[in-house]
Amino acid sequence: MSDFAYAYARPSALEARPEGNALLLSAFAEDAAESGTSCFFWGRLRNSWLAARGLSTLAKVVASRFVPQSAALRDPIVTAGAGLLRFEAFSSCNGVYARLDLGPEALDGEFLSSGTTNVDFNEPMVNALARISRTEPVLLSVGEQEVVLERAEGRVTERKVALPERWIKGLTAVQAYLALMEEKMRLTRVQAVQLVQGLPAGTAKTDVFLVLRGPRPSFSPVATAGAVRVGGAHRLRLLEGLLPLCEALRVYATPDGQASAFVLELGGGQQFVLALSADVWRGFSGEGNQLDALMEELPTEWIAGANNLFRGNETFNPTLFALENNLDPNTVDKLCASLSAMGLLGFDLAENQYFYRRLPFKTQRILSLNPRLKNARALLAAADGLQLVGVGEGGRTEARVRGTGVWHTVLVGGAQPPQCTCTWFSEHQGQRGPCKHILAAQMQFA
Amino acid sequence: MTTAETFEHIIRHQSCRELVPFLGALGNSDIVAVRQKTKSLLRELDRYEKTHGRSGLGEYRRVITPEQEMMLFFAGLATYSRKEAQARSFSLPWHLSDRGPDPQGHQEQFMTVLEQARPAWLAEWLVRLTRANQWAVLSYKQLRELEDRNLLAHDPWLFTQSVAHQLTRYNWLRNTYKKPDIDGYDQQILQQLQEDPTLLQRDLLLLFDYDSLVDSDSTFSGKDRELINWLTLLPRLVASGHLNRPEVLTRCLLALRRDFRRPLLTWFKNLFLALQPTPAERLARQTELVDLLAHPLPLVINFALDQLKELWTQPAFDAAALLLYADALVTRQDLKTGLRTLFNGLEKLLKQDPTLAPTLSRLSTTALTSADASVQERAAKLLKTILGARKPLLTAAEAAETTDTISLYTDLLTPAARTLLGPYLTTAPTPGSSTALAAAYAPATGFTPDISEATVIAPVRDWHELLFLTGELLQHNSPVRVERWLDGLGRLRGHYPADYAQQLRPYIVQTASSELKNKTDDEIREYFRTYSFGGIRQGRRELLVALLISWYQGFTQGNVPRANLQPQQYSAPDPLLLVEQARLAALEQRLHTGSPALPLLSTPSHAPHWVAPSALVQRLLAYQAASAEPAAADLALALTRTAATAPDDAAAARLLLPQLQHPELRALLEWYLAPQPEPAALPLQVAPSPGKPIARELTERLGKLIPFLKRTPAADSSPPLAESLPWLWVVAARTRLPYQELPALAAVASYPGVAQPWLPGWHFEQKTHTYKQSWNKQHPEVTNTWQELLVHTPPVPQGLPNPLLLYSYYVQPPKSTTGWYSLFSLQLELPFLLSLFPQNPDPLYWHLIRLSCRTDNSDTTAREVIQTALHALLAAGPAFSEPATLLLALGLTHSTPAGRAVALEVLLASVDTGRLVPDALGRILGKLLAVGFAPVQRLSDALAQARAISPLLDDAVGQVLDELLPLLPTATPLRNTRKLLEAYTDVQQRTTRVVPAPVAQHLQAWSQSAALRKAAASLLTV
Repeated sequence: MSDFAYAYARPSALEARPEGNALLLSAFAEDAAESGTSCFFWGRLRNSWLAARGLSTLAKVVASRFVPQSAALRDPIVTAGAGLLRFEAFSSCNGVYARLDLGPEALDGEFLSSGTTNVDFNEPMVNALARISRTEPVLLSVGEQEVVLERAEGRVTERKVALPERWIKGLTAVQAYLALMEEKMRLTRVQAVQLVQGLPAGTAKTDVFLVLRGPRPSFSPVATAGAVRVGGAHRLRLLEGLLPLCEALRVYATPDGQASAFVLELGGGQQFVLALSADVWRGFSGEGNQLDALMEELPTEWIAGANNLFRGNETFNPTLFALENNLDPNTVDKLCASLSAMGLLGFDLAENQYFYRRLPFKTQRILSLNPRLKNARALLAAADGLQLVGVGEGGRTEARVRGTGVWHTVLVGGAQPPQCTCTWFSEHQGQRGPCKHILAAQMQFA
Repeated sequence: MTTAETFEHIIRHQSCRELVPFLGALGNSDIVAVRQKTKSLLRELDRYEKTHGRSGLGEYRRVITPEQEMMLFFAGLATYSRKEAQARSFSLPWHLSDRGPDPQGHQEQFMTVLEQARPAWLAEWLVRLTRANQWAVLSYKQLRELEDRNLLAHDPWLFTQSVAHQLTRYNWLRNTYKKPDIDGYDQQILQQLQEDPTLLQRDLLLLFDYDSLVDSDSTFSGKDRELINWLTLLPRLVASGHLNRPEVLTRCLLALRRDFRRPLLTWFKNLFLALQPTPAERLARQTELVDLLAHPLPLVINFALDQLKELWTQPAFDAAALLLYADALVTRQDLKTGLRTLFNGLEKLLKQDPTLAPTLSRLSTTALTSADASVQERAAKLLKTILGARKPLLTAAEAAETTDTISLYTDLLTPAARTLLGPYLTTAPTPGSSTALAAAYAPATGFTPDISEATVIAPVRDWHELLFLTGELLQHNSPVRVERWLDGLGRLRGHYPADYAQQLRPYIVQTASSELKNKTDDEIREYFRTYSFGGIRQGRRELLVALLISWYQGFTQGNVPRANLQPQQYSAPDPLLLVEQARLAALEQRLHTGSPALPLLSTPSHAPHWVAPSALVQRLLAYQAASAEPAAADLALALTRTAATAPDDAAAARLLLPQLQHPELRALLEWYLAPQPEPAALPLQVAPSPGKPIARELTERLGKLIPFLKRTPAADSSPPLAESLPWLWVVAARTRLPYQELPALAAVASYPGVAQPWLPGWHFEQKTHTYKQSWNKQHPEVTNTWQELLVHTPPVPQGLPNPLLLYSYYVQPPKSTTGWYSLFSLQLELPFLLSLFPQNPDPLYWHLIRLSCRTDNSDTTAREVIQTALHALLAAGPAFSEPATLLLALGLTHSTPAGRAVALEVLLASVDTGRLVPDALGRILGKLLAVGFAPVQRLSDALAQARAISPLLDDAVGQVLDELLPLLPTATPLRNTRKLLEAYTDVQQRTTRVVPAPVAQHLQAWSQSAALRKAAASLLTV
């Protein structure tokens, strides 16, 4: 936690001004001192009412929690770049990811610089969002431009927000899931409203599957062909206020059903994404779905080079990037994984491309945020952590890896997925990423 | 003496009186020393120690005295840094916040210390304390005093919390005077409020800006204990002119915009209403009122629409702004009252300004997607007005677009809305159309299991697959995985690697928790030598773990028979587990003796749990080739799982039968695999030797396998095949002919499920329970009444004639004392038990209905049993039998939404697969609803979700209702019968079916009821 402490010079606020309301979002970027950036965007919201609804929903996601733990309001992060403002946040339990994209059509202003920053979402400001009316013009500022003017009552308010590491871990897992997702269904506005109507009452304790029955979307407790698995479906109620405002809703899911995403096309260049983890008790931060790609340690200069390139381009499609630069798609995947492990990449489902977040380039985060990877490397470093038993047909390698008080049999390589005799693997069967034993065996023998 | 020593002396031997001047005189250089000493003294004193009380028993006593605690708090106040002050343990002693008498003068000392020390973190600390517990807030008087002394800057949130807590403090204040009833207390409080301009002009208005406990803050006045709260005081302050009425009204509306707690929003709403605003005042605030329509809570929207409804037709009212919000309102499913109010208003608007017709028609069309029938009806009414106006209100293009959209929603319309919009629906099916004719539902007459390549269950390939499958079966309760593992265990015996026990160790450690971590092989061997396999919880998992441990030990020790499956005080394992134990024990024994590797006969070869007939015969031939006799338990389970009705595979199996040399077994299989087995073709059985009770039989046989129990060594846990054949004939006959009388089997045993099928009856019985409550003079006696579903069967002799009578295990009901434990076991084992009887699961269904559906209020265990059983009904199979239909009916009216959701899926799937028997379901549902076992609403909700999905489903639902409705009472109709009639109307309209005479008679009777007249009349005219 200590790695990510933020301090705002003043609270965010919705201020009434003679020329109209101004939504002043106070920002703190980790690398602001290096870049000297204080303001990222300054301009008008073309549909301020709709944007306010989106930001309110985002605030609702941030304040929500779906497992018993102390709720802590964490501030969203905003990425300004490529003509878009992207507000991203997680629920306090880390199982829900939400993003509001304000595109060029939604904004009438100036991008003073590209970058990623945390913005202060304090309670009075969130409450004030509800007061924005349909016809009210609103000025939006991300970061500070007129510091003196905006300081409330001449007083500097400092609020420190400690962002947990699991946010960065969650950002890594979410982009990996989003990149794998396929569009499963497209719902009209009426159908989108019926979606919430059909939600099972109360808290969904088991998986439900979204299906289209006639014209109606329904949640079924039974998996059928074409149905989308939605774990903890009651979390969709976060969208209740926004669904009636959308023009269409697109539903995405990963092929293995481990995550689903709901993309609300709000019109006017606005889009809201809500991604749900496989279960209420599974935060995105613990998924480990990127570990395979992170296993192979790429040269730091490669990662640094890719970072500089993507930082400049701001968005890119990995397949096209590999083709254009004559690179092996696997290498591009590994580069993407390494960068996203530092929280640097996000994924835009609508455009099917990555976008870059300007966060500090700290390669040590790759290990520190992935304890399984760290433990696997520790096994490799130990004198007797692994033993090779033999290599079978198709390169299937059998190894013994030291566990806690036992030796685990591990199979890696070949066409089949890796396997291990540890409890984690027995329980999850690889659905939540490989265990440290498999990672160690793969790094050593595969 | 140093300063720290002086401080310690004061703490240990003196009081706050001496401490306060000492703290005031502390120099900067002494602060750190005193702070450290404060913390060390707290560590030393703030604890409990054990002492011996008078009775000689140990008691715990707090070491620190109240005075020392107060002194150390003052010391902290004077010396702590911000970091230490933010520690959770540093909190305000309760009575320092002005809560009552303070004879020792601690409150004044508190202020003095604050005055002397002036801690910079005071505001932050007070906010933290109040956020943690709003009742811990300092009194408003104290906060003001701190502000006046420049010790605390005005913090709006903190002051709001204190103001919102003031009336509760008046309660405490009254207690200090020992006067529970004070006449005119309300007047006194009001006067005090009126005399404080800062409170009136600044802090009281903050109540509108922050979430606080103002809605629950109260005290009372006079002997009648009249309640005084802010809802009574604020209007009086407004009336007396101390608060500005327009400002309070506007602030109420602004507060309602916020994301406050629901009770607080209700409080602001009530305050606004208590001020009784005039229409002019509401009109002046129309912008604020209209803005409330964006609120997420229906409570606020309903309030706003209610306040606006008188203003719609006023010239100064800005309808355009409202219509902007209405756009989002009409798609909200959580609004009902509000939308009805809205449409009433829209009708008025249309009359006043017909040019709004295009906007209003768009709104009304969107509202047709509402799930609420009354909202739909009002929207339809407005649309009808617009579309049916003599002078057209819409252009031709607009009218066409509207009717097109309405037609799109045809299937979503309720009967009332459909009737209103009938002339404008362009896609309504015409009576007698081919679509309607094609959609006549009829249950399927036969069932053929899918025995094909597509459903093959692949056997375990190699050692590694077997190893990792072990991990899966320890974590997941999946019958198919277990069966594959068992099969692999037997088949791959010669292929285990030399170090297989070492590789199994992680799983052995998993099963025995962490006790075996880092143990040597000898230690583990010793651990399992004395390991108890007869713990309280016994089930199939324990049997499998016993087998796994055997495997780890190299099958040197028979563990499976050591599991105790007899009912105990807190355990009643399912009786069929005894058969499974015998099957696994036979496998264990075979692996122990080193017999040739042979497959289990009962391992399913095809999904979900079928044994292909040809696979069964081939396995038997393998046994024959190895000169091994099949285990009777294994063969019995194989028979229940064999898909004898799969014609092609059964024919292939019959071709293999001549190779089987065992003549009796061959005869059995020839009969069993015949396309149409004839009861008359059953060979007349001779009476087998007198059987022993099942428990004794199996215990004896299994006991032979336990070295220290057995007297004479036994090679096998199963009875010889020849001895078992009559019983195997019973299993085969009851699998193929579950409902027929089979006199040929009468000689085998006189027990239900042998010559006579076991067909229990069921009925509902009203139960009452009366208890007395003498303390309640109005209701000294309370009688609870409920309905119970009883499954009854004629009394049978104790003890099953033979353990192989698989279809008769549940004839004997479990003892009432072990009923819950039987249910618990059933919940755990149900997936496995269901996998045993793919052809005839009826006895199991009756058993689970008897255990888990006795009353409507079931516990979690019973609910899970029902849901698991309903999931099993989703698969393809023969038309539902009576218990399966009863299960479906109980599911559709289940008390939990999750149970009803699965039952709905079963209903939908069973129409597709032809398993539903609509008239049987209708009759059972009618019986169930008529006695009041479950409310009608549950069924009507389920049917609403099944509407307009497919013509076939509509027809099936119609047939269900045809049977159900005549069983419902007419004299006093059940609550929500109207909803069933609406569902029936809906189905009738879509399917163009004719109302049968029994239903028509009931409709005539119901048309006399005010609540049902409309619905019944509309059906009679269909």
